[in-house]
Amino acid sequence: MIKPKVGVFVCHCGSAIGDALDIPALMDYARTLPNVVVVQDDVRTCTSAGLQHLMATITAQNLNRVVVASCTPRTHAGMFQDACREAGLNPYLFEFVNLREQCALVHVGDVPGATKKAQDLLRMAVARARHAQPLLPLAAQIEPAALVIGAGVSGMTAALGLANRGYQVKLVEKEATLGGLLRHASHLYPTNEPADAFIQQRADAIKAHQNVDLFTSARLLSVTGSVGRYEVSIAQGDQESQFTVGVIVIATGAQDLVPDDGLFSYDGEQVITQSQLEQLMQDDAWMGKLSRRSIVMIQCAGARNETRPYCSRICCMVATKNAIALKKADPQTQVYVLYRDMVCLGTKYEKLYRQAREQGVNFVQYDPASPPDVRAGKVLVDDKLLGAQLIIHADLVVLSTPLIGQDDAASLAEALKVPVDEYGFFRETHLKHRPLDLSVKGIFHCGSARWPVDAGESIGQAYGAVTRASIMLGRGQIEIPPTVSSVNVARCSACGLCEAACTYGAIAVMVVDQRRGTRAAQVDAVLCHGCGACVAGCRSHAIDLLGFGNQGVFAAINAL
Amino acid sequence: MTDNDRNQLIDASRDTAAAPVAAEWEPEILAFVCSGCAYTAVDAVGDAALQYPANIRMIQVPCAGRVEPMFVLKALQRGVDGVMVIGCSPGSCHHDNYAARRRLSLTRSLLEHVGVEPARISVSWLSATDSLKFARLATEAVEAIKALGPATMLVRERAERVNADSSDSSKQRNGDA
Repeated sequence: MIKPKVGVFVCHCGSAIGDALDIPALMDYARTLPNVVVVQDDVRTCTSAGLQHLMATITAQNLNRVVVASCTPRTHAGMFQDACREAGLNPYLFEFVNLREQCALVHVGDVPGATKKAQDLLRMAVARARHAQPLLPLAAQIEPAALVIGAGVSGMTAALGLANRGYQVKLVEKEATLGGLLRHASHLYPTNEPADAFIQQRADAIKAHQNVDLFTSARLLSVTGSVGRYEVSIAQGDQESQFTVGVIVIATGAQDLVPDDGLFSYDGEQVITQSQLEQLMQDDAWMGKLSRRSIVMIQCAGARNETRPYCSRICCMVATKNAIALKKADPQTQVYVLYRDMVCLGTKYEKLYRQAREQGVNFVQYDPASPPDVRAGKVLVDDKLLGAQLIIHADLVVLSTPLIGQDDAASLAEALKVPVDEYGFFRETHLKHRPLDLSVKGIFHCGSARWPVDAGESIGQAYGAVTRASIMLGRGQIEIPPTVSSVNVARCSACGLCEAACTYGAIAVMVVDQRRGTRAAQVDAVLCHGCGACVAGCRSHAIDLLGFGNQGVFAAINAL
Repeated sequence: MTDNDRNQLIDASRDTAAAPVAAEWEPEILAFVCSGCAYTAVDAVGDAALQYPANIRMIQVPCAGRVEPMFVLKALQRGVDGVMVIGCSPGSCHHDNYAARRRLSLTRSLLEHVGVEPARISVSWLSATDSLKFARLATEAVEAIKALGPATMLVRERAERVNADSSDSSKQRNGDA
């Protein structure tokens, strides 16, 4: 092994670090550490002058390890690693010491304490740097094709978006026709566009598009492989097809809850769901004889309770939209909306609500502790604002039931090795940072498959998923960080604990030597996220995490 | 062995090993901080104009799931007075740290069984905005460990601040398999 030559670079961060720590003492101390050949300080290492100074010293001193003591790796590690790379040093031979956030800013007034802590952190980093190994990034080739599962509004939008960018799209739909949930809707809010015309326009575009292969009445049989090369097998009746895609977009949507437990006396005739109402509303004859009827809508029916604590998000607007349409068809119709909380987001939907009130829709708040009582021809409700019971004549009761996950969401999630929550919605990698990515690289989701959304939001999310997928497809290959687990086959007992510990399905026990029949764990570097759960879970200590190896950690602990 | 016996044993070992404690003794705590939400929370303590005692040394880990019991044991052997593991809230972990939670609570109870006071090992979960909580946890940990005095159980060598190359760390790994 080449003798480590460590360079220590201390940043003053203007005066943020310089004022709070004794930097000359820290630098003198750093010079005493083993293998440290140069210690240098800068007012700001992150400026172009600072980075030039850093790179010049790496070259001049022929350094093979770099320790930068400055701010936080969260914002600046990448920058310093790039500088190392530019100076010809492998970026994984770089260590970071957080002097600003962990010393200077949080121990104000305790200069000796903060300086001592800085010395300790620096000593630990130098000890760890000595054990750092160079790593080369891995690359995966991306097949310029996408699989879109589900041809509702999200799936159709995603398929068209990717196809228009020139990628081959395989669009797989389990039903015979396109449109998903919107097939049952009468019109869209807030534009009042008829839903069937909206679907038709997109369906025609998809059928005419040369880059889209549409498979209706199709079932997904299996998906194998990983990002860049997923082998997909589907069946349409008896006919099976296989194809290879680089990325997958899940747009399987959701379904309406149809009560089967007598919720609010649901019978499908006098007490129906909003979705069933919308189907009636498409019948002109039915709409023509509304005359003076009284229709009572009940919000949060089967939602925001113990079984389904979530808010389905779209029901307030759907009820408002339908109430307006009924009032428009016949202003004599009485429409009551019994609600817990009306959530009409943004000015657009607030306007819709205002319009409903102006047209004479009655909104009545109820308390979930005393829910409306649906009887034959009438509904009894305790008006929360009035503080009195209302007896409302009801020719028709409409339940705003929530969207619930698809029945096959869990099995699809299992086939794709992605997480799904207890309500059957796909769970994103991170709600805020990566809302459209799933935990498996190259798989994205959009629309109501991830959470109840309306058509407008579905379209927005579909474009988002298209953009995320296009980044991979456009580059043709993705660089994968080499900080992944690696197995020492000689030590592996093939017990499979790592397989159970891995949430990404990235490690599996398999035969590694055909002749001897030796079995051991093997890591799929493309799937591995480098979290280290398998390393910590391995009882044979056969696994190590490249870039964050045990040797380095123990060296740092020993140096403390 | 009854609890009483064990306590006597612990007391005995503490009396002998911990006798020459300097008056200005300050506890030394090692914290393993997950690079996800937890690191962000720790970083933001200063921005929030909060402070915590300078007794804590951090090692950034990719996930709390990476922290193996050997890290904790090795730190205790090295003479560290307390170990903190700080991960993301289990529901919002970027990976899956439920296993880590089980593993670390088991580690903690096993260490308690051999006489390491539970207060020396703390495992906590932070979201990215929990800076206040971190400052409080850090202060509490320092206070709790100050009250306990220096760690004695499992200590092989009180850190001499030698800069010896940690060549024994590789032996460490090989030796325990």
